[in-house]
Amino acid sequence: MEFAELIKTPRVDNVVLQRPFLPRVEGTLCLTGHHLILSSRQDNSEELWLLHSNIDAIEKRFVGTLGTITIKCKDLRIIHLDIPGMEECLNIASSIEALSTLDSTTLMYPFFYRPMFEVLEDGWHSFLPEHEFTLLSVSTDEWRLSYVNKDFTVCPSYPPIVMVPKSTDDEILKKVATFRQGGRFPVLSYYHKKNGMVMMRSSQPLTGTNGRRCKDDEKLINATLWAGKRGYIIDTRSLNAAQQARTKGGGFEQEAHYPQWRRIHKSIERYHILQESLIKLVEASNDQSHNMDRWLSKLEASSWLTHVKEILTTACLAAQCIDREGASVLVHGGEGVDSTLQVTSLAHIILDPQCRTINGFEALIEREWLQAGHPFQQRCAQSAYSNSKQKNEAPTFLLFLDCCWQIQRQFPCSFEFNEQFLIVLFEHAYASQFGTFLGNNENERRKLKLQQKTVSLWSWMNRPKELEKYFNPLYEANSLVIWPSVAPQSLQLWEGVFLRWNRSLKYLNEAWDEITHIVEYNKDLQAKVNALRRQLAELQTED
Amino acid sequence: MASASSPIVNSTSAANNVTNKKAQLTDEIPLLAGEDIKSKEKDVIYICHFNGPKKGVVYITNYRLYFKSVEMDPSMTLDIPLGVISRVEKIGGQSSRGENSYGLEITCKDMRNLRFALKQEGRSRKSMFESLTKYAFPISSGLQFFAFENKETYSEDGWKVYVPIEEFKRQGLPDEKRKWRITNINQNYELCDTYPPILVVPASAGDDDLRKVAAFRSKGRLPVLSWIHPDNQAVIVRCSQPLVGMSGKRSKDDERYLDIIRESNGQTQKLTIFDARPSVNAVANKATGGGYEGDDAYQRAEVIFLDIHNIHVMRESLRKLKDIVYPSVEESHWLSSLESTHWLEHIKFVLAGAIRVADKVSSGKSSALIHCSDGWDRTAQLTSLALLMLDSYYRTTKGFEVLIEKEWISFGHKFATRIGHGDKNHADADRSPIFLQFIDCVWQMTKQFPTAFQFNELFLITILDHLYSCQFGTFLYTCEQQRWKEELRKRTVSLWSYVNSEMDKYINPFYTKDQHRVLYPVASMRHLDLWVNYYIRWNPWFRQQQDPVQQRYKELLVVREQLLKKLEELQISDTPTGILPHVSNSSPSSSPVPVSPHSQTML
Repeated sequence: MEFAELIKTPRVDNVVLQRPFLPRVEGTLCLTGHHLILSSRQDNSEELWLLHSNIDAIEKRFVGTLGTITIKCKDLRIIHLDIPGMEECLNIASSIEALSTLDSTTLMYPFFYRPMFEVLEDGWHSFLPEHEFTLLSVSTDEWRLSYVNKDFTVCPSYPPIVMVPKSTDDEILKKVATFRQGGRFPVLSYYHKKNGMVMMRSSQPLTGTNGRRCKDDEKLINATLWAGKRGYIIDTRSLNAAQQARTKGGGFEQEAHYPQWRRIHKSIERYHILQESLIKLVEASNDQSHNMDRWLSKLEASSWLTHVKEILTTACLAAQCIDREGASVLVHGGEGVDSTLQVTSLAHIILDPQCRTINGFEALIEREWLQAGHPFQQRCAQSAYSNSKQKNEAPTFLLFLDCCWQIQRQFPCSFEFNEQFLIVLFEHAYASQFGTFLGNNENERRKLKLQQKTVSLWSWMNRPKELEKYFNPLYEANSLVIWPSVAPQSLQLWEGVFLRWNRSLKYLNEAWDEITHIVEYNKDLQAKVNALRRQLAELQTED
Repeated sequence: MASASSPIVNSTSAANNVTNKKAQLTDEIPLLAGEDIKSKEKDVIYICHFNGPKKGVVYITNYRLYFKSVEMDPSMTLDIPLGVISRVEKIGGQSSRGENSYGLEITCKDMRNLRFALKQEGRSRKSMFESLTKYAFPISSGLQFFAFENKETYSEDGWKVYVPIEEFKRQGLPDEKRKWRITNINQNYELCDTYPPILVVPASAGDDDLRKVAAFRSKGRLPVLSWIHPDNQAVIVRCSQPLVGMSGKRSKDDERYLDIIRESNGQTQKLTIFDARPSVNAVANKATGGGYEGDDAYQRAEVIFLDIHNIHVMRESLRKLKDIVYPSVEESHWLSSLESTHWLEHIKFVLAGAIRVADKVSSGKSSALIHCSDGWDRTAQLTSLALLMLDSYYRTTKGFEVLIEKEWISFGHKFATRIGHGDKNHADADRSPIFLQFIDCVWQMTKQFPTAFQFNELFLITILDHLYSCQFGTFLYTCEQQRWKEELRKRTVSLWSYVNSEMDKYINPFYTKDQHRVLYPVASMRHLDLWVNYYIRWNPWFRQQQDPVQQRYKELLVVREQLLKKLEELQISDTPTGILPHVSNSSPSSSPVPVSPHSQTML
C-alpha cells in the first residue's frame, strides 16, 4: 500500500493553528505518511510535527467555507486547525482519519524512522534477563534461568527466558503452564535481598467449577517457601469475581490444596471500567464551562483516584507481606497481564531503591511490563477521546505511572528521575517514533523484527544530553523501603498529565530550574574546594 | 495499613512554636517569662483520638494547657495555648459507668478537639474545669489577656514593622501630580472610629467633604486609598456600603468624591465599584439602611458584584470541613464530602474577586473601589489579596507583615469579635474564619507560584496559631482606637518581634527576588487544593507533603554556605604562595564570591 493513496490533499496554504499556551501560527499544512506538519516557513518559528498515530479523534466544523478541524491527541492535547476551503478541509480530515487508524503495525512510523542521533548504547540490549540473573546470583542460588519458552510454545505471552525455582525442571513448568491461563506459570518477579523473601507472579489457576488441581503447580510455588514458612497469594480480584471466573474455567487456589498459603483478595478494576474512568476524568478535566462547582464530584465520579488508591493499596500489601511479615508472595489476577503487573511493579518501587533510579526504572518497565507481556499495543490503541468502538483498550500503564507519580510526590527526594520522565513514558506508550512499545508481547516483537527494524526508546533517552532533562535535582539515594500514604487526602490528581493543557506550568517549572541551579552551583563549589585542597596538599608536600 | 511509615506520637508540632527557646523549665514544663502554673491535676487521662488513652498530669498556666504522660517510653506531651480553646464542656456524670466516660471535652479554634477523662471521686474535674474556664476566657472572668503578662524579650521590635507614613512613601505618596494627600484628620478617631489615624484621600477633597462623605457611609468608613499603581496611578480604594436605604437616599458629596477618585489617574471611563457581596444581599441591605451605588446617582460608575458570601456562611462551611477531617478523616466519599462543605468554592470566589480587582487596576489601568457591607471582612480579603497580586513587596516576609498590619489590623478587621479572644461565648454569631480564609487564599497562591513568595508554609501556620494564642498583642481588639486606649504597643509584645527574631525558619528557599510581575493565580476549582498540612495536621497519619523538599533544599543551602566558607579559607591560605592561578579561572561559571542573582536566595 502506498501512503500517497490515502493522502487526498497533501498541502494547504494559509492554515491557522491554535494550541494551548502558544501563539496562533499561520502557515502551510502538509500531510506525509506519518506526520501532520504545519510550518510558517519562517526562520526560528516553531513548527508542528504531529504523529498521525498520536491522533485519537478528529472533529470538523464549518462556518461558510472556512473549516475547522479539531484534533484530539492521545497525549490529551487538543489543537485546532482553521482550513480555508471546504473541499480541502474535508480531504484533510478524511486523510488524517485514514492515516491515524492504519491496521498494519509494520506501516507505523517506527519502521520508517531513522535516528538523527548517534546511538551510543543500543537500547534493545540494555536490559537483558541474563544480566538480571547475574545480579540475583550474588544473593541467592535458589533460582535458575529457564529457556523452556524459547519458542514461545509453552506460554505465548512470556519471554523466552524466565526465572524459576532451581528445584523445578522444565517438564514441570510445561505441566504447570497447562494449569494456568495462557500458560503463565509462576515466575520470579522480585527477590528481597534484606530477608530473602520473593514475589512471584502468574495468571489464575484453571480450577474450573469442579476444583481441578495440579500437584506440580503446588510443588512449584511451595518450592519458594522456606521450611515451616507460610506465604501469601494476593489475588487482584474480589472473592466474588474470582469465584465467578470458575464458571469460565478459571479460579483460584483452594486452601485445601495450598495449605501453606494464605489467600487475600483485593479488588482492582480492569479493562473497559478503567477506560471509562479515564474518559470521564478527561472529560471533566477539559470542561471549559464556567460552572465548575461540581468539579470535585465529577472527579470523584470518574473513580480514577479510587483506582489509583486500590492499586497502591494492593502494592503496599504485597510489599508489607514481604518486608514486614517476612513472607513470600504470589500475585495474580485473571490473565496476569494487567493488575498483576501494576501490583508487582509498584511493590518493586516501594521495596527496591534501585527501581527509583532512571536505569532501574527502565529495567523495571522492560522486565515487568514489556517482557512480562503487557499487551501495550492493544491497551494503548486508543486514548480518552476516541469515538470508535473499544476493543481491548485500558489505561493500565498510565495508572501505573500515576501511582509512581503519587509515590514520587510523597517522597520527592527518593527518586532519581523527575515527573517529566514519567510523562514522556506515557506519551511514548501511546504514540512514538520508537519501537519499544509496539507489539503485545515478546513473541510478537520478534516476529515484527523490532530489534532490527526500529530504534529503541532507551537508545534515545539514555544519551547524556537527553537524560539531563529527567534528573531530579533533589535526588539523594534512599536505601529504605518507602511506604506511601494511600488516604484519599494524600492522593492528588496528576496535573502534569490531566491538566497540563489547561494551565501553564511555567511557574512550577521556574521553581525546579531554581533548585537545579543551586544544586549545580554547589557541585561547582565542591569541585573547586576539592581542587584547591589537592593543590594545597601538593604545596605542602613540596615544602 | 499502608499509611505513613512512622507516625509520631501525637502532640506538639505547631503548638510547640509557641515555646520560645528562652523558655525556662519549671517543674519540667516550659514556661514563658510572665507565665506561671495555676493548677496541676494528676491522674488525668488524655483520650487521644489517634493513639488511644494516655495517663498523665495536666498543668494549667495563665497561658497554656500542658499535658505530660506518666509513661516515659515513649513520653508524650501536649502543649496548647489556652487562647485556642473555644469551649470547655463536662462529659459524663457521677453515674457514668463506661471507661473514661467522665471528664472534659475541649473544643479548639484550630480544627481539633481534646478529651480528658478524670476520676469521678474527688473534685479534680471541677478544679480543672474551673481553672480552664478562668484562664482560657480571661475576658469573661474579668482577667486580662496573657499578652499583657508576657515578659518575653526579643532582638527585634515588631511594633516598628508598620509605619503608615513610610508605607505610603514606599508607594510613592504623596504623588507627583498631587492628586492624593496624606491626612491626620482621623487622629482622634472622630471622623471614623474604626479607621486608623492616618488616611490617604483625594487632594481636592477638603476636610468638610470628608466628613460629609463619611456621614453617607456605613460606620463612617469613607473611601480611602489602599494602594496606588506606580506606573498608571490607578488606585485601590476601600470603604463600606453607602447608606442608600429603602428610599434611595443620595449624597452629592459622595457622588462627587467618587468622581474625583475616578479622574485621579486621568481615566475618563467609568469607575469600577467592586461590591464583594452577592447582588441579592446588597439589595437586601437597603432594608437596614445600606445598599449600593445605584446607576442613577452614580452615572460614571459601574458596580460589579463578586458573590462572596457573608461571615455566617463561611463559619458554617468551616464547621462542615471540620466534621469531615476531625477526628477521623472521611474516606469513602472524600471528594464529594469536601465539595459539600463548599470551603474551596468560597476560596475560589474570594480569589476570583481579587483577581478581577488586580486585573482592572493593572491591565485596565483604571481605579477600583471595593466595599462589602461594613468594609472590614470581605473588603479586607479583597484589597489584601489584590495587593499581593499587584505588588511584589507584599510577597516578602516584611511586606506581608505590613500588609496584615495595614489592611487588616489598622483598618479595623474585628479580630476580637471574629475570633472571640478570651470570650467564653463560643456560639457567638459574630465569630467567623474570615482571616483564616484569607491565609488559605495566600497559601493557594504560594502553591501556584512557588518562587514568588519569600515566606513558607510554616510562616502562614505560625501566624494562624498566634491568631488564637493571645501571647502577642498583634491581633487583639477590633480597631486602632481600642488598641491605643489599651496601650497595646507599650504593654504587649508584637507577634512580629517573635517571628522576625527567628526568620530562618520561615524563609521559602524557592524565592527568587525581583519578580515585579503581577501574579494572576488560577481560581478554577481544578487548581485549588485543600490545605492538608493545616486542616489535617493533627492527624499523625498524614505525611507533611512539602517537608522533604524544603528540608533537602535547606540542607543544600547550608552545604553551599560551608563550601563557600571553605573556599574562602583555602584561598587565603593559598594566596601567599603566589604560584597558583587564581581560582576563579578554573571554573568560569561562578566567581568565588556569590554574585549570581540566584545566590541572593541564600538563607
